[in-house]
Amino acid sequence: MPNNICCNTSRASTPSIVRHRAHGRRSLKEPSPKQRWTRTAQAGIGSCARPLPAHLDDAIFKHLRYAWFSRSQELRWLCHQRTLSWYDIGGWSFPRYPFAILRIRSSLATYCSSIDSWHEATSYFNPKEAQVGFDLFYQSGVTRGLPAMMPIAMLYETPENAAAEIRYIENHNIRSRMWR
Amino acid sequence: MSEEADGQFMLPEDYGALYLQYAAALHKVDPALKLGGPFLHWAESGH
Repeated sequence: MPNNICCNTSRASTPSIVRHRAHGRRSLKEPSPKQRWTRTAQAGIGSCARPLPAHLDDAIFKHLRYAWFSRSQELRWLCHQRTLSWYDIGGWSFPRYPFAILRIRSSLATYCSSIDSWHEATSYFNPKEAQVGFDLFYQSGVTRGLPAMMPIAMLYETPENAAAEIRYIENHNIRSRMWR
Repeated sequence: MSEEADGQFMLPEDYGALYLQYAAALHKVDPALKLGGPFLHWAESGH
């Protein structure tokens, strides 16, 4: 993620597209039938086995739609890991990112996942392991106002980035009081 | 606070020291934070 904020299971800042491309792997495989964007209601949050309630689905969809129409950096943030891998179609390579944009523009809610940059393209589509960003996680209401434990990655990150992660959450007023 | 230390040739002493560094950095941001860890993941081969 974050160039300045990063953890293993959740992401918390706007990514650098340039950095992603520099670190991204070019997929040599055609997209498999399983490699499709999934409706938020079915695979949006963490390890939810069942579809989210309709009101949460609506909330996530509105959030993503707002992010798109406001040209928010948050959209890039939400989808940034998608830019790590590329579709090879007919000899042309397409980043995943525009696919996400097209989905959102066509009024389809898209679940966005943050996965470590060293994963292959085929690593992205396990709904049971979908990892969302901090903003989406909290704003979805999935915590129902209850405390949530925030992950801190140790081996693949630095203490400075871990501090930046917490600083990001607190500075964005993401119910910091709830998880103390 | 952790990572998949299994299979990373991480010595327990180093892992503990790293945890303390993280804890110090996080408490510098917010002394009231409750921290947990470090823990290990699975020791399955291939992970």
